[in-house]
Amino acid sequence: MSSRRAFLKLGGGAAGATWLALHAPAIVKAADAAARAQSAGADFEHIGRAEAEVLTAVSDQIFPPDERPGASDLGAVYFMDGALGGFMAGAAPMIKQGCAELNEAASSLSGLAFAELSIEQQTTLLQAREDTPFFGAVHFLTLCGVFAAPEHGGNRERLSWELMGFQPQHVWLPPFGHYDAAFHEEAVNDRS
Amino acid sequence: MTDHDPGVRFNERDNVDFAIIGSGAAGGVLARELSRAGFHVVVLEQGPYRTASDFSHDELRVFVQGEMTHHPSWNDPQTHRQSSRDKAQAVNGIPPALYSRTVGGASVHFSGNYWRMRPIDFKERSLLGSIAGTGFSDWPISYEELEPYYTKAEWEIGVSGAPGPFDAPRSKGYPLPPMPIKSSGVLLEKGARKLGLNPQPAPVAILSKPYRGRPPCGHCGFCMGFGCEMNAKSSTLVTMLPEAEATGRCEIRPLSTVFRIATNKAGRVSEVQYLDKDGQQHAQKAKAVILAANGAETPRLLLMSESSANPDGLANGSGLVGKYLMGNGHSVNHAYFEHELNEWKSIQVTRIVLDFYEADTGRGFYGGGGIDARPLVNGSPLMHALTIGGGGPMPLRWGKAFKDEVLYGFNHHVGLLNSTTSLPVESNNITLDPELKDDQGRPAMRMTYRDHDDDLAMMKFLQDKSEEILSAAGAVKYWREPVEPQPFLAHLLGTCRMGDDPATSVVDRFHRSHEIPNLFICDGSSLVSSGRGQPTLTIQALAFRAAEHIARFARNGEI
Repeated sequence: MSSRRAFLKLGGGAAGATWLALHAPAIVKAADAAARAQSAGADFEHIGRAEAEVLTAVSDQIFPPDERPGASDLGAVYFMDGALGGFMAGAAPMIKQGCAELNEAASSLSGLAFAELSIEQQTTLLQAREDTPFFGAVHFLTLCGVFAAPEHGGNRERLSWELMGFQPQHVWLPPFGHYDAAFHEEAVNDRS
Repeated sequence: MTDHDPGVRFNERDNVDFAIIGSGAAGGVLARELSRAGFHVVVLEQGPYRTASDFSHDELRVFVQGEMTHHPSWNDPQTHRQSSRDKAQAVNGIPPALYSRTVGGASVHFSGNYWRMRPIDFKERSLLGSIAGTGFSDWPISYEELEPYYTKAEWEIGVSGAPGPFDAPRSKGYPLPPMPIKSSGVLLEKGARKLGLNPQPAPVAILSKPYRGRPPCGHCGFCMGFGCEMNAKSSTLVTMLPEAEATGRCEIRPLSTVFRIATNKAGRVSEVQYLDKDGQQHAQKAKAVILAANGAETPRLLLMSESSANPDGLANGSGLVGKYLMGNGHSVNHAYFEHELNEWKSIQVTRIVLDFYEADTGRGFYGGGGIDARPLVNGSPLMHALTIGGGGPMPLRWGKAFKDEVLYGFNHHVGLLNSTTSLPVESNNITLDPELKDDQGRPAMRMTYRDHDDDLAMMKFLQDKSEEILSAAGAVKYWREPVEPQPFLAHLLGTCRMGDDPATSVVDRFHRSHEIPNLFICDGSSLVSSGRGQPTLTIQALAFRAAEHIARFARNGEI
């Protein structure tokens, strides 16, 4: 029952949101394919080269590379490829149209494709589109591609989890964190 | 999913003693108690029979896609509106009535907070007087009458905890010691004590030690919203239902979606009509039917069962079926602390503050509630990134600053969840949508709900208190989510309220419908008031009590 506003945006952000219907087998299938494609450095299956370039640039704006890997380094676009051929297939036309629109905007600005613009120019164009279903959907897909379990095609080598300090492990023993460790130490000291 | 061996299979033409609709917190208890008492029971559950090996830590499937909350076989949409003046809109994201469709029901995916209600919850109307525009009422039973069943539920289910300073009187302690404290619990305790409050260990239906053949919690962290892979969460899936099946008198029939309870010429219920996973129609004959499908599906089914004899739906002479929906109010505070908390480990809640439980007329509005510390949905990587990116404190939800905050926040975040009373308002209700249908032609569930202004005021009041606690605990940064009418409810209460007067209630004090002698209703819908949050223990205490009376009626030929 938490973060309700943000949580609800998951539904709104992905445009149409038919993706929330059950497509579990399709996801697994798409994810397997995405994982194979990524490891082979292969082409994308469900999105074209021009779209892949735009989605790479947009996802790296959302979760940019710095001294640490960014979204595309982590395989987010491979995740998107699988998702747009699977559980988010309903959003694929809208995403493709959004990519084309960004390329057109870039072209009328400077004659280049969106991915060829400077980082600052890309940011400006995206800021003007923050509230569009396209940006909402790509934002959602980017974060899924970065942070969801690697079985879904992104989150290469679980690097995002490593960066945030998450360890996927089924059993832990207390103390769990700094403050409960200190709490137990104080209790021990009190007794001694 | 492996096929589950039901142990016993009844023929649909067998006139079994009880057909129970729903296998969740209440249905599971009723199935176990009645089968142990010697009766033949069929439990119809719309979800599949998932067990520990079917559960995972996969956020995309479980949380984002709602693997357990969506209908397993077809699209079953819901609509929502705040007022009967509005046209309800279909909801594509989180369903307005959020519950789990799986054997064990919402007890499989809950966080396991097991608060008892207190004596005042049962008689607050008499103590405080009426509240205009609401159906604020006393219960027909008292805390003292329910107390033995609270104790029974805690011991039969397996609850870890320790009594707090304001707890209601109890006849027996908890069966298990409290769960180990987390950093969020330490900080809540520290901040609350500085303010002179009285934090206490959270009672939870999660095992701190081995209990009745089940292992203790492994602290994996994937608890709220997920099924437990250790069987340490005390769902009915791993407590009541296996014991019911072990009697050889109880069949749990999964993937069975009831669409109608049929009546005969004598005005008694005669069979339960349902759809299997392929949409094929079936009917199970039964001498009596117990509806335990949750506070949203239960009234929906009664309304769907209308006929010329019952034009307003079954058991609805009062006109109150579906009305007085209560969800408990919720508000949220967030904070960052200097050192790493690792809130992604272990269970959601280890400490609570119940100093504001009782209503206080000095506040200028009705209400009471509790505060707990927990990671909320920030305790798993993807949900953390999605929610902090969409509703968090940052000026931008993308870019370098966003990345820095997502990665920093995961280990430094703690949330406080404030849970409050909900006033019963007649215009908050479950009805059948007049237009939208599910893929099988059943009318979609329509929720009309807007929190009462006093509920919203109480949510805000506790948020102010929580902010003081976070500040006193030394948070480096804190912020709050805006308080606004809740768009979805995970607690579904009050829609077939219990009472002595058939004109103002749907079931009597023994959960028998006032109008149909062999139709019983026992789940969240039975509650007359909402409590202060965490209703499941009360629902199960009611189920243990109801089972005892229903068994007595059956033995005495009084059904």
